[in-house]
Amino acid sequence: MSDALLVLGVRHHGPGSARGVVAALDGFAPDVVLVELPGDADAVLGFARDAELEPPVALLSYAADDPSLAAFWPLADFSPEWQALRWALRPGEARTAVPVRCIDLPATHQLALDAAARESDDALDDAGDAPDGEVDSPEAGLLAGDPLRALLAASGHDDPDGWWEAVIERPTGGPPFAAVAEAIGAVRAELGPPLAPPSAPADDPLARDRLLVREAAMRQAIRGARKDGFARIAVVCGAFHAPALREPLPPQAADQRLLRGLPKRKVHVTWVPWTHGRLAEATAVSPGWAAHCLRVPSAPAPGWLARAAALLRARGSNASTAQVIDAVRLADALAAMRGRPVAALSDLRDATLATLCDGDPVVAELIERDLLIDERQGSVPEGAPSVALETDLAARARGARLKREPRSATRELDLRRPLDQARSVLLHQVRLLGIGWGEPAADVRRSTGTFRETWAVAWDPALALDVVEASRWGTTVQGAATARLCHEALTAELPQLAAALGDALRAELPEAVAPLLACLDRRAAWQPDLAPVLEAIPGLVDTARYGDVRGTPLPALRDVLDALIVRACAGLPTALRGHDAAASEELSAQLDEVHAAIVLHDDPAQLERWLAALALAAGRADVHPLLLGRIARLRIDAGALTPEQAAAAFGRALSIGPDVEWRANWTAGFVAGPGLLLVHHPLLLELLDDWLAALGEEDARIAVALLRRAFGSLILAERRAIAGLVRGRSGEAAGVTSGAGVGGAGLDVHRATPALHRASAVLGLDPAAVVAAFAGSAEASA
Amino acid sequence: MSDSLLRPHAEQTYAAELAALAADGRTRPPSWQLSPAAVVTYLLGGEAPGGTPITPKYVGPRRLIEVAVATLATDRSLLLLGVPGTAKTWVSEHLAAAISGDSTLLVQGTSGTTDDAIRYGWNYARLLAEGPSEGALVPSPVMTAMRRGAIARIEELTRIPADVQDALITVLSEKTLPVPELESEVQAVKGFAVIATANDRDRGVNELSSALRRRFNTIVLPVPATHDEEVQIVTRRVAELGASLELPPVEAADEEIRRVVTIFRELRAGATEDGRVAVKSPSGTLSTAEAISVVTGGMALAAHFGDGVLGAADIAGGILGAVVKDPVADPVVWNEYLETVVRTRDGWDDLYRAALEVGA
Repeated sequence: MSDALLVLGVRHHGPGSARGVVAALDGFAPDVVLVELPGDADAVLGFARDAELEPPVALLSYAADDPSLAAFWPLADFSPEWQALRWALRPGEARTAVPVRCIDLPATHQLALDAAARESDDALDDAGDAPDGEVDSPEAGLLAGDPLRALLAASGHDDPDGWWEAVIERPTGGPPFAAVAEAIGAVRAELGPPLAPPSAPADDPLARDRLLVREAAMRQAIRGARKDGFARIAVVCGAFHAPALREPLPPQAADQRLLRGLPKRKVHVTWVPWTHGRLAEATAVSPGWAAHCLRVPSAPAPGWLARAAALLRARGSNASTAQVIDAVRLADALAAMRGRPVAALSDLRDATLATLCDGDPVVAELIERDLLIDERQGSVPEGAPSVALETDLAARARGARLKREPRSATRELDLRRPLDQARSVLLHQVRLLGIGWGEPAADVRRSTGTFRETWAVAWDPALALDVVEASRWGTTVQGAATARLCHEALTAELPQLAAALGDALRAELPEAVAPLLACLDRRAAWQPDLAPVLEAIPGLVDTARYGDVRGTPLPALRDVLDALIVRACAGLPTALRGHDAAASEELSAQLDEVHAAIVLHDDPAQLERWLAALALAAGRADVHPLLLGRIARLRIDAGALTPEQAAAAFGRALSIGPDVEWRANWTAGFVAGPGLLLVHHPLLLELLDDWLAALGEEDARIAVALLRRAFGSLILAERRAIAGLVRGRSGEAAGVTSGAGVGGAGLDVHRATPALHRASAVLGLDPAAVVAAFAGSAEASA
Repeated sequence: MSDSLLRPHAEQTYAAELAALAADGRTRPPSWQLSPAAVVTYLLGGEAPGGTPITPKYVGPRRLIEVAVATLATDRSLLLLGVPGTAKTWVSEHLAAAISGDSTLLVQGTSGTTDDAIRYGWNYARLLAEGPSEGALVPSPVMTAMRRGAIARIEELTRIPADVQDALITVLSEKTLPVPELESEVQAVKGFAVIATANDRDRGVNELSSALRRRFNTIVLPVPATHDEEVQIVTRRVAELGASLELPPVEAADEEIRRVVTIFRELRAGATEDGRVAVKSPSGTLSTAEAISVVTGGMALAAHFGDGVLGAADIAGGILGAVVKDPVADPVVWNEYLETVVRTRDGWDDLYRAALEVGA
């Protein structure tokens, strides 16, 4: 058999290319397959033989000394490269396996070049000349930003990706590889980078065009395969490279010069599980659609629309088989009208919207993500080398002197010590990655001090799998935690977002803060219901204060929080209307929390706005009396009502309420704890006492039942004091004169002494004098 | 003769364009006057095979019109939804004119529409004289369309009482209309289809039953895509209306029109035009038509009771009335919008103050 070289220029992740590659390989029967993957991936290529390696997976390479310097090469079922690997390494019964070689520039050089580029970018940043931040990679999308796009746009095709889909990735027959290579060769000759390397490349390896360097490496690999005695060589590469790899190859010397002196870096290469979702984030591909096209190339409409209908039904919408039939007919008619042999994604999308979703784009959006992504996760065999995330985690754990032991233990962390602080941050980050190493033992958010944390830690060996799973989020613990937090924020509700923000702060993930705040702001605006807004405010106030404590003030958080408070205030009067007793009780507790938070927030303008909203709500007749009472109370506590005004309001409530239940509810909301309201304001107590005394037996029973709970929320000493006052009132009309009567009879100086000593020590007073003064006043009141 | 008419039908006005497009020689579905591609060109504008220029009848996304035409080509029926003023009726008239050459087979849906209008009625004088007979039967536009293989149009489908709507189900699924009195039926000729329009935001008047709904392919016609496009529509219509209402000329309307359109678009879209602040949307439609009436109302105020210059105070009341349709939810939306957007926007102080004044 004569020597032959077959170059298959594909579209990365193109299902048509994937099918075409298999057909072409079957026809050509090569004795070696060369794939555009980094050369040093050869070492782990053997794992692809294992059936446990199931796409979507990614080849991961990372610098041994800095896992944050990493690159992924994702492969899905519909990736031509994967199909080529499968064809060669898992031949089945009929053929024998064919060797595979990776021919792209080895990652050891690629990452070293990336690192150098990153440094020079930083230098540019320092010079105040911001680079555009885009990593230049012709692979990002075959057609993105390259001459082909310009050419197509010039010839009137506004959607080059769609054009490629329709013309090259033909649903039947597979792509015409030779014609594509020729066309791209022509385009590159006119507009693009040169096909052959320059005869004298720049001395500085960093200044050479990366694309040309990579193609030189690929050509060298082809020559190497030829030298090793392979006769029939098949090359699977991006279509953009195809013309540069065809025979006759240019002289070898130029390629050698281009590859000379490239920087090197020690790297690890391994396989990691990947997901369709991650694949979709990084490329313009819709994994669900691509996978579907691979399965049923010639008639995609029925299967696709049936799945859309099934998803709709799962969400409770009607989508009958009859509608699917109509949708298929519409999609086919649209395809015919638009001059396509088979319905394309846009035809199916239009048909889904018009027929299955009643034209409602909101419904269509609900299923769009599931349809287009069709989430699934790949797996890698157990023997694959450990991942970068694991390396980083081990290093971080060593640095924080945290041993990963299976035995469960409790750790007290004092965040004022740098080592404990580092441990806390690591544990928080690991927790955010869903790796169950440590759990906060006590409720961290509500603990009294902000500098103490308690963790229950235990390393279960099975957690290694969780690390592998989490490695799809990134190569460092910090980077991965940030990515995951931001990803989950996209679908989180308001209170969860508020909690996530707190997590980001505690886990020191500064890069997650801005996206989280953006989500928070958007979610707050879309939120039709006020309850989640109210629920989120206290947590956010805590977070804002916590950030201040930790010395990382978040001005942006304050902005969002202020906006949230504005929304809460605007909606409050309406949101409080028309609740029953049970709901009002919950709301009342929530009002307390929000009120306390806004007072803590320490912004007079916002407090004023909040009080104004409360005042507005107080004037509405359709708000439950429990809430009305509570609102009056909150306003007194905040000093927005004077005791006289409060007494007037109380008196009004007791006189105008429609029935005794209404009045008692109002009172219950009003007097519930905390504090010594009734003790300090005898006027109010008098009103209450008089009202209760004047009630008939039946009314009194109702009122007492409601008031019991309110008084139950007061602490014992407060209740005693009130009881004392009431007793005094009934004994002699002009009994109590001042609030100083808190002490009252029965005050035990002996039992109070230890407390007085401690208080004096705190306040820097003379303990003996304080005790003496206390004893004196106790006697006087007795 | 169409010159003397107040408003000629589409097929009369554009007879020349339709004739030019009919000469394209492509395959047509049975009974169609034009090929599907030619119908799309007729609606969206372009050029007929002979070089005759075709004026655009509808300005909007091409894919909507393609879906509409493909729907009718597969003998399905078409439901056009949209807020008022999104050219539903306009599109349906032109589709019927282009496909059947006849846009007059029309049923106007009202709460008083009976099933005579959808099935058939009787000429009672002849019914009494002759008994039930073909001659005494008065066909509805739908029945006529079925016989001819033409497009029947039903306007405001959701205004028609539910039991009358359901008379359509047999027509749409079986493509027959039984006439039990004559022991006969009318079977639809190929090419028959129904184009119905309904008001998207007027929900709940007479909601379509799901049985009926799934016999239609639904297309939602959007509001104008860009700010400038909408400002232009409003400006033109306001000028026309102002002239016909004989309002005295009012100055500086452009700036206020721009503000009204901005507010309406932002509230509809749920975000400010710069995309930086998200806002809630009110329950009302806030259509272009309402923007037009807010501005016209403001101009009447300015002309008759103000200083003849359209200002913030003149439009604030109208905007409030257009936004607040639901007395419970909408004031919240409006207050939030006022506080988060209007208050902070440069040069909008006067509007903020005016809005507070009318809102109090």
